[in-house]
Amino acid sequence: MVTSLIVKRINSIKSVYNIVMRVKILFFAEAKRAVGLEETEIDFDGANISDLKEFLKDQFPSINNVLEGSAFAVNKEYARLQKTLKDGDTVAIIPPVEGG
Amino acid sequence: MVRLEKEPLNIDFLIGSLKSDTAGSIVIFLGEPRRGKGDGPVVSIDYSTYEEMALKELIRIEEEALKKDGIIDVIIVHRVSEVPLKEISFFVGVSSAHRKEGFEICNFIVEEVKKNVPIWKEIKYD
Repeated sequence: MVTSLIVKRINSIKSVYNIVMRVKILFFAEAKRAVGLEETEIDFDGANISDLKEFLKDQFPSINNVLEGSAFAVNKEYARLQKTLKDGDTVAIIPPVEGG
Repeated sequence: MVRLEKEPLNIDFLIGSLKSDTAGSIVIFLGEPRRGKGDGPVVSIDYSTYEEMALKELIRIEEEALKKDGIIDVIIVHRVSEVPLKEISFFVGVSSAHRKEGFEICNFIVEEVKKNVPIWKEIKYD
């Protein structure tokens, strides 16, 4: 509850001052095939993975279905949708893994 | 030991690396690409990975496995290249004092790798 209020407050401050962060996005497997890219850098004014997911849906409509079934990793660690992002982070889209 | 390997695996070498004076059991799992019913003329599976993260996850799984009572050594190797049918794509070996913990931990490792390690496959057809 308190966290969500803080995130909302941070978001409102960001929108007033137009603060953006640069985030590197890595695409693998189905995600890579859907967008035709291995990686890209974006300027993003959201707060967390959930916001980034919406941003990517808007920027790369071909990836919508893949995103719904994918996990995310921030700097090589699995991350929840609520994970706060910061400038310079690397976010990987991890479609369902299939090793073995 | 954990490894992501492009070349075919040397299974004898890997098994030999697990031998020790204190191990009464070595449990091995070998994964192979397969042609499922209705898959058509599959000839191979091309495995890709997010290498840095996959190694990190493999080390985490190895460390967790080595904490269990009776486990002496663990080897996890996954191919990350195109693997023809009948070649080994995935090796898990566990040496332990007794077989019970060896089977349990081998199964634990296989499940963890399949669930969490960022490796993907693309089926290749004739």
